[in-house]
Amino acid sequence: MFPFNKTLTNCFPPRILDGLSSDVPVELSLLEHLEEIIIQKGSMKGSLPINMFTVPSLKHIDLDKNELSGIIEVDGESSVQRLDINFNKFSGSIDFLTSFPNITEAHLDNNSFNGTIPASLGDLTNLRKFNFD
Amino acid sequence: MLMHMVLGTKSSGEENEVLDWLLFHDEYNLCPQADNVLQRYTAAIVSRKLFPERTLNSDHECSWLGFICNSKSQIIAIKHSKYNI
Repeated sequence: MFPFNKTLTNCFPPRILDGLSSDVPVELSLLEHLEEIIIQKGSMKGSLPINMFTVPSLKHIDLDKNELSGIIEVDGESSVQRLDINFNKFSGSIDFLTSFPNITEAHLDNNSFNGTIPASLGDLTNLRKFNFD
Repeated sequence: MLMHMVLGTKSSGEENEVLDWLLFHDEYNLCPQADNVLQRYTAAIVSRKLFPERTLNSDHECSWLGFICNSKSQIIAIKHSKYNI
């Protein structure tokens, strides 16, 4: 134990308010060295925080088999190379993929995405595995 | 600032809980100048939100279940899978 110094709270970041109800913590983006987020077969609900894809060192997101929903939005350009969100309840278009210029694998099966596969996917020259139904 | 953060009506339950824990219950020798103040605070919130069934412990956050660090004690991965249990 140590005597607490109130200045400790000055070290904390301003509160982040995303206004959304989600089990995926918006604070993830504060872990600036994060390379991998792998949370499979959980029971997470809600949509993904817009800032979670743009952590600079992030390479791998695997949220396979949860109950996540909503449209996916990316706040800028993501360095993620592998995205696995099979078996969730995401909806909307998959145009968000164009915000992942380095992506090599995108596993999007068994969601509720709609619309067409965007032609701009052809610009993703590193994309080798793409599952989408 | 402290009162605002602890009593602020807009803060989430997890934020209040984690602040209370860090300030009054955590036995890790966290100093205001420590490199890992923000990381520990953030990891504690993430842990409470992602793994609500787990209680926070006073070891370094790099040793918490689900968190993986590099040699500089920086969190580089969060892993949890019911496949492995």
